[in-house]
Amino acid sequence: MTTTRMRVLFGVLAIAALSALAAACGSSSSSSTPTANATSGGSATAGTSPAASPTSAIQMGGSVTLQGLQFQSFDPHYSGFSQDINVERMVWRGLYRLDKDNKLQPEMAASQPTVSTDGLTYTVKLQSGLKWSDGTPMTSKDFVAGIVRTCAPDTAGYYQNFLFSIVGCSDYSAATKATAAEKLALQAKLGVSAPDDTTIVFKLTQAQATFGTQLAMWYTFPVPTAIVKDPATDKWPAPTALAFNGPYKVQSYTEKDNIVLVKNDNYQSASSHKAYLDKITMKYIENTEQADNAFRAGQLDFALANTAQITAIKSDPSTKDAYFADPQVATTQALEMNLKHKPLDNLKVRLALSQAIDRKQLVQVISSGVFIPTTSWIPGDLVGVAQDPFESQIGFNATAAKQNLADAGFPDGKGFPTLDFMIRDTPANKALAAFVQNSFKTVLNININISTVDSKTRSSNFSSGKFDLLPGGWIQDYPDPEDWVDGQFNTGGSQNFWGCSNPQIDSLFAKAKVNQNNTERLGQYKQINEIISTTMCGVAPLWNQSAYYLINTKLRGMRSNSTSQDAVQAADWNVESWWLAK
Amino acid sequence: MGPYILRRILTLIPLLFAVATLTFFLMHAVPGGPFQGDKALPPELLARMNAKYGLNQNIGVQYVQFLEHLVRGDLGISYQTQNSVISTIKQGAPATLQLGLCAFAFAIVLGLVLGVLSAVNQNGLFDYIGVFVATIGAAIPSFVVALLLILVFALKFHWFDVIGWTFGSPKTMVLPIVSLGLLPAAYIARITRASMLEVLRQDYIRTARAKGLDTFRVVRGHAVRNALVPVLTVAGPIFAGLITGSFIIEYTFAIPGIGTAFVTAVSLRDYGMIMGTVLLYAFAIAIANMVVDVSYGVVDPRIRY
Amino acid sequence: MASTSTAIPFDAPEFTFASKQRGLWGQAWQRLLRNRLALAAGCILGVFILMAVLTSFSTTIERYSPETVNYSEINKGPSSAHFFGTDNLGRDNWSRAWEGMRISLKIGFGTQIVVLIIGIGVGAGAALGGRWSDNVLMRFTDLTYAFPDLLAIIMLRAVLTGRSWPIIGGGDPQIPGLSGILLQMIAAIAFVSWVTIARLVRGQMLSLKESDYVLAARSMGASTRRIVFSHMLPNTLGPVIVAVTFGIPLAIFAEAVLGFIGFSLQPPAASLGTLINDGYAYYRVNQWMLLVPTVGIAMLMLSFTFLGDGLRDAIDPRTRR
Repeated sequence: MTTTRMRVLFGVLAIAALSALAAACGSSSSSSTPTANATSGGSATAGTSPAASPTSAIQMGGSVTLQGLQFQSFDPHYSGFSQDINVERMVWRGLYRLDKDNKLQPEMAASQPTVSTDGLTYTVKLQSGLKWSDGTPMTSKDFVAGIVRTCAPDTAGYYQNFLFSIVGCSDYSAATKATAAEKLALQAKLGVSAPDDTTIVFKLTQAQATFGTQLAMWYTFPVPTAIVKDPATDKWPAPTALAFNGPYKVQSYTEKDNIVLVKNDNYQSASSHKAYLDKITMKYIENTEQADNAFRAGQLDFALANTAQITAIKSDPSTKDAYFADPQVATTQALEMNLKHKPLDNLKVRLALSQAIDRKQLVQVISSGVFIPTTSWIPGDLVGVAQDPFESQIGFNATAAKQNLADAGFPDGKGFPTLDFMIRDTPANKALAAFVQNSFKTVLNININISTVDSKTRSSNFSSGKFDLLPGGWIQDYPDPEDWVDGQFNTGGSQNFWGCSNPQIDSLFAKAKVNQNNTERLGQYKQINEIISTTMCGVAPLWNQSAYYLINTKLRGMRSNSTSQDAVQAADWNVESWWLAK
Repeated sequence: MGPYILRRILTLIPLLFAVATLTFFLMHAVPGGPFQGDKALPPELLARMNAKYGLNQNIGVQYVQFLEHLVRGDLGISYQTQNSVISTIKQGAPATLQLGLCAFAFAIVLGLVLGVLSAVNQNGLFDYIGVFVATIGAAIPSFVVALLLILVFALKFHWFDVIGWTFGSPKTMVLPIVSLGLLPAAYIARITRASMLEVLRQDYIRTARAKGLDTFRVVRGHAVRNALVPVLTVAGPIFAGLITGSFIIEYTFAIPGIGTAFVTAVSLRDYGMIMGTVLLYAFAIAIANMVVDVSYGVVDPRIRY
Repeated sequence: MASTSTAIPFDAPEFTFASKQRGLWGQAWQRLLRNRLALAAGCILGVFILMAVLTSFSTTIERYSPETVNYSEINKGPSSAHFFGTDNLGRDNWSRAWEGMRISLKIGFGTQIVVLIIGIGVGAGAALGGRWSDNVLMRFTDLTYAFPDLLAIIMLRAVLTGRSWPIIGGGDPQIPGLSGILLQMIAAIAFVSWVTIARLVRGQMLSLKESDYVLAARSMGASTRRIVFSHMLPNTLGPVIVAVTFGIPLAIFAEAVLGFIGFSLQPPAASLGTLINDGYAYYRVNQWMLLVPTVGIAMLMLSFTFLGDGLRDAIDPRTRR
């Protein structure tokens, strides 16, 4: 069921907050202290789990069964959903990877990229002797093909625009109506080339500070050109007809039922090792409560924890040791507001709404205190602030809320229109909506109308600006504040559906995008974050969320490896380190 | 009988076309398109993807294209999986049909047995047991029944699996079949009981008893056969209900059938899958109704076609 | 179905028919009263309906508003303060249950009213309108019959959802007590459920059309309208009433299934089905949230079923004990 799948996507994806950013030309970063301390269960600090054994005791072999979520597409150059990306990361890898400190490490590349002084040219050298899982040699052509495929107009991938710094990618991707000859011409103009079998050269239009990180992302994964001959137009084969370069490869796949991965002996990473487990079976289960029951019955070694019943999970002897709350978070949920609809364009009104919500009580009611209240859009440690820095400015304050509403021209709520609060029909959303409705009524004496829609209608209304208020948020794609701002808060940005338009944000962002000085850049994003959060320019942050899992105590390597990367299973970005204690 | 069956099969074709047309316009009337994902897409990208699948054309044009494909047996691509609709349905249909047929068989057998026992043993112990089971099944939604069965028989006693479906393995099959089939079983039990009671009052039964035949033979030989007719009347709709309603059970037990496929397809506006599943169900229901009508002729020799 | 072949004494039409009707219904009523199970079911239903209505008027009986949250009383069990306990937001289960009952009954009865209108209209139109209209209407009925029920309901609901039309959408004006979404739900369920009634009515009317007393009334110059309304309809009503009584719980169940998929009513309004779905999500931390509406819907279903059985036994003399 989609509603549940979406609920899982938004509610249960694990993203760890960063300790530091390391861009390609990274400078030294501050130490990693997780500010978001998930309460109870599992680890208290990043990296250690109570049952962790020292690395020397790792046992090879074994087979595990996990709860998985049916992917929409198996093509990383197209994929937008976490449940696609998580399994793609297990079977393919890119030139680089982000390690558990979010530093860029060479994966298929032999070393860090060479960047020209103007930041417009990146040269990457591959390791020698690389092979696909079927034995064919992997060359630089395969990586060029990956970029081509992502930028290709026929692919229409979700993350095309993240590569628009590459010369020609933007024009190429826009050429949907061009003739085949025109498309080939544009393809030839792409700023990516393979001068020899082990070298790849990228040419950029702007000195994007995070370009190195992009080379670790799934949309830059290589294409097995021996199988997919024309990366720009060929249909992506079925999972069992492909070749892989990641720690695992696909053995079998039954749609809507399961996918089985086995160890890939040809995996060769400059910073990682071959996989420990022999086999991973992902059984597709949409109903998380049932997955938890299957975990209890021993049918699964891993399941997503049903946050609606978290107190029961934490006290039930059959699950309490298996419960793991990822201590790093990189999801922010917020009350999203359409600034183009009066009276939401008035700052005092937005302030009143934000101050009417008691975030501490909110997380207690809807998550039994597992979520963490926040007033910052970008997670605090990404921009070097506290986790909940603006509590005194926009946090709960009933008197100030009432005053602000009166100052805005609606004393005691008189004359305030009934706004529409659009939610998808899930128990969690309904609880949130009831809370917000009640808060607004008690504190401000205004009414809101809760309308339940399905996810497509929600997306459609959201992207066409047909909304007043709705709960939403952001799950981090890559561990950089740029990801949290780009397109959403700059005037005219392609994802700026709430109509945020602030000249300060615009000028700061334009500078930060190309700022090679990382400390200065982070400082700029810190300012942007402050403006977004304190003026609620489209969003009033409510809470940060972690990811919550049930992990068989014998399954190691999952708990101690979670970081900031969008994960459906804990540490799915580092699947080669999972091992089974006998 | 032959020409009758042939006639029925022939009427199937225009019927399915009508169903397809109705479905086509209904599903396009649902607001929103298939390409609005959770991360709101930039408008140019949206336009590009709609163009790729021909969704930006006039509805009439799309309908004509759809018909052209339909007569060639091409139901298009599922936007979810990027595979052809037919292959996706072929993957999922077996599980749903297996579940539906097994639940149907279970419902008929349990319903008939309970109904006959209740009627023969009127107001006795079996009657009350039968009524009890029948009423529970008829009164509690199937997902709640499923939950109770899982909590007791899977988690507490470990007799059955919590999730999964492997045809031939009772460990995975029993709970889904019982959850799905209990409601129709209850309904059939009630109908059978009422019908048996009526038949047992008939003169010819009294005659048989008077002749000295023992109750069991009387029941088996005469009563059950005649009581079957009303059951047959409802068998068609019951089967239809079972296969369309199986998605709740499929969702609960993570059974990879196409029940959930329909619901997901509607949510995701996956037009190809919506059309494919509706046509499959309509076809299955029509065949089931036809089988029921034909079996009238078998059970009741008075009915001739 | 089978034409009436039993001989009916032909006396002065008006009086015979008049007393025959009263006699028919009167006898049916007597038989119903003698059926203790049906009587009990009817009483329970009566109590439920009474309570549902009372709680919407009297705050003493309702005790709390079904929407009032209370974060310090989350997931509590039954007590003197909360007869049925509270839910995950501290709302009182007693008042939520009665509101759920109210809404479920509205859906049950509402769908059947629409079903009756469409079903009788189509069935009578087919039976009385001549061959052409019979053909057209019956093809239409076949199409609706062939279309998988639940799938049609889901699609109809999806088509109607999110619109801001007046009355049946989200916009103004709205009928008080019958929100737009509720009407959409009723419409979606009713539009697929009328086939049985239509077939029943058509079948009955076709056979009644040829029956002796109708021929007699015709030959005496009675207008078609009079014949249909005074003679044919009342004789058709019996099985129709029974079908409607069984249809109510089916509609309530259908709405619960819709809620399961995510097409439920706008919160905070909740039918019994919605309450069950919500309770289902929290059953490990709060059993009362699930138990109360389940028992409620079970008793509702059973009462309608036994009442329906009783009505059928009462109206159709052949099944008399």
